[in-house]
Amino acid sequence: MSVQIINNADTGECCYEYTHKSGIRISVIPKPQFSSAAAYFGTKYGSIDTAFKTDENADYTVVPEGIAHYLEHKLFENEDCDAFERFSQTGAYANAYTSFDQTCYLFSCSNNFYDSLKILLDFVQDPYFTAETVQKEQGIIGQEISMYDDDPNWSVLFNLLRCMYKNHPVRIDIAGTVESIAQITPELLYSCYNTFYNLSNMFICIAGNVEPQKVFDICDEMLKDKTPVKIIRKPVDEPLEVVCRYTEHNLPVAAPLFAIGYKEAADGEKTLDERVAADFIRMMLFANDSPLYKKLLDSKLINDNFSTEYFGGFGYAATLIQGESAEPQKVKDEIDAYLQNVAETGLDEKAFNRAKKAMLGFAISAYDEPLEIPRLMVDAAVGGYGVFDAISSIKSMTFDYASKRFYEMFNTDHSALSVVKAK
Amino acid sequence: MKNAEKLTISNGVEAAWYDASKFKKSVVSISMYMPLECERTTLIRLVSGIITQKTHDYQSYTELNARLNELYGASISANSIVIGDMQCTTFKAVCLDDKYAYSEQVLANVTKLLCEMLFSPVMINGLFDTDAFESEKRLLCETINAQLNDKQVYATQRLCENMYKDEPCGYSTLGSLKVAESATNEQAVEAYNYMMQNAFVRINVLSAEPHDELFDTFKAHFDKLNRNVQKHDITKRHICQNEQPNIVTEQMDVTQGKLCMGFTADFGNSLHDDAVMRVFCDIFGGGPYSLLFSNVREKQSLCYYCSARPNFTKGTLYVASGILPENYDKAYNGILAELDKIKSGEIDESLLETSKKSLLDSYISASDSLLSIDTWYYTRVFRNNVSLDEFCKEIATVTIDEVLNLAKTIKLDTVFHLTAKKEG
Repeated sequence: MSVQIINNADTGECCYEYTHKSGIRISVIPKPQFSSAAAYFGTKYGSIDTAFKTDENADYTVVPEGIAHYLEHKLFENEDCDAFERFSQTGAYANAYTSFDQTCYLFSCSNNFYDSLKILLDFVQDPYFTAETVQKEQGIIGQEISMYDDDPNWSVLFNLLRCMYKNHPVRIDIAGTVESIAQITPELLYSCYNTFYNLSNMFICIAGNVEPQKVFDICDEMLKDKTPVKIIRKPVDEPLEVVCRYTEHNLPVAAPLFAIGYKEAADGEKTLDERVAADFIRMMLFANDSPLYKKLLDSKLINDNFSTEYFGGFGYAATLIQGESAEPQKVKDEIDAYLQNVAETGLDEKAFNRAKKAMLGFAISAYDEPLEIPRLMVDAAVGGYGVFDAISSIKSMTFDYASKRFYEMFNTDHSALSVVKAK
Repeated sequence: MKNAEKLTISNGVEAAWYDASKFKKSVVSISMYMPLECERTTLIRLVSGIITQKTHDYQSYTELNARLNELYGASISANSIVIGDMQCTTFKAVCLDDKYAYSEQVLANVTKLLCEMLFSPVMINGLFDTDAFESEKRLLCETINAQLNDKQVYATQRLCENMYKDEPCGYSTLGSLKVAESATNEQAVEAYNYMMQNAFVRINVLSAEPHDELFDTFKAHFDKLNRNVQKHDITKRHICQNEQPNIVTEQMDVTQGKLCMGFTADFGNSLHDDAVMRVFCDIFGGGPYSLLFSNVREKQSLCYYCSARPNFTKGTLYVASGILPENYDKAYNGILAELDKIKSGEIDESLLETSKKSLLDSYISASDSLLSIDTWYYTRVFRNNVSLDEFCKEIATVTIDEVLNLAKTIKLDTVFHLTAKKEG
């Protein structure tokens, strides 16, 4: 067994990595001073994977919207009992989530870690779907969809994505719709499972009071030997232009909510440095120490519910800005004008230096708690970079590189505004 | 200071240091406890926002945040919560521990800013800076209005307003919109002075080293105020006045309805009584093994979420669920049916052991989160202020008979039902 040990001086942490013969990489950050631990067993499969094939298929399989999330719900149920019942014996807290490009099954605990790890590895590798169990879940997921339909923050975001993206499946709601999930069958679930839940497409990330070698031994014992599958996702022809520049939706809210998106060209995925540089730009331009933020706040155009996100994955990349405002269009106009001004005058190097210190602080302190660390490890696994590479990227980022990146990120012609307001 | 040793460092000021050497962050929190009272609660909420916007050296919100970002992304925030019938306003600084900050002294600098905000807020001629006052007033009004946006939070707040309508804790922790809109700078200053003179205070410092000098600084500041404060919790247990449950229904343009149910419970004030209540709520509506999750959600598919949580100080508990509007009657009766199961003893030791195992696991895990440790201690200042370990020991000894006896005292008091608007 060949185990790689990666040390990081900035955090004082080390990561043990082992690649199983199936191709799955297992990463463990031991934290012996802590009482708890968390384990994530995930797959690079999410809501955007709506059309795919393997190298053994001629044609693409097209699946209903929301199936990745549906599969996540169903995997907890086995023929004999469900995974929650098993975790209740060990006392662990278990959960799962599906996002655009990943699905993760996780548990956290302060006792019986190795028993819980065996349960996790077992149930995720043991799918059981029948017409009856699939049908039963429709009611619960239907209610989850209803809950999100009423969520103005969710609504303003997905309406924005539908404005920005014509063909890319990122425009689809992660849980699908009541109509689309009604089309899901056990056969479709097995097709998705057998394609994407191949260990070569998966990852295991663990942090906390655990012994790495014990973890690797359990993985060797429990992980099934399967032939790696080459997954081919159907290419998406996504134009750079947005579908529409403005959309509005009514929900019972106090002040209007807005979401603004600036779309970037994205063939494949951005590199780690490109993503980190995008985070630098966001901090420099939009954080609570920026001139733009001050102007918008002093003009009463925004309140302290104002946030930004770099939103990127396979074939999509955008900067998103969300908040509340009585005049969303005015906010958009002010931001557009500000970006134009920055494009002409350049970025502020003092702001860059401040952003670097803040981002280093956030990055280092993110390796604090066992229950939170695996999320960072999952990002690295999905993004295809090393566990501590983001810190190195922050430290080595230069003002010149960040400045160049700015010009790639913002074209106001490829932007859109989504608003949710009361009738 | 010794680890976890609580000391009185000034009149009405408790303080403790907690060893955070295993963490990469430090936390300093200063919590001020006042009786909830509509006008003053709103004004203190307003004041907490005003004084954390700027200091004498950093004269705008953006300048202050620039300084905090230079200190490796440190943050200083103010937040108010309701504990029983008390308002707890916490001023909290979170920063990178010095040993990770490339030789910079982060904690001392951040704490200095926090102290300047609290003890020497920016004032001109005895009033808060007008821009800061007006800005914060607008932000508070918008935040109060925005409670509508999160229907789950809104429904729980409406349940409390109705259930506790003649009690202080019926007020939102954000206060009243009417008071916020009409607040004057003079009123805000008066509320600030009242808070500094009369609030009971709890200071938590969670850091790698004891930093006695920080406590000396806090003591010096508070001593100058010549306070005369007694540690006194005005919270009264809630008594159900209704013969029948009070059911309040509201209609809104929603797809999913919210059903929130408030119950009273009769239990004592000891640490063990809290442990029994905690276990009861977990069995009733906690983890996936609980009666509400496994029956109302999973078997009957009546809701997406359905959970129970206790209010120890008021002696109540709340069940919150998201339901389809057409399932209201079934969900209402379904939830009460699960409660009846516990009352009639239809639960066994294995469910008790599962619950206790899960709770113990989660409380032990909480000791691995710096913010969870801080929150644990400052929310229990007036009630059984013990360590997580001590609470775990009590949970471990809870018996099935204790849970069943508590269940028999549970009575439905108030229901708040948010449902879809009917057409026509």
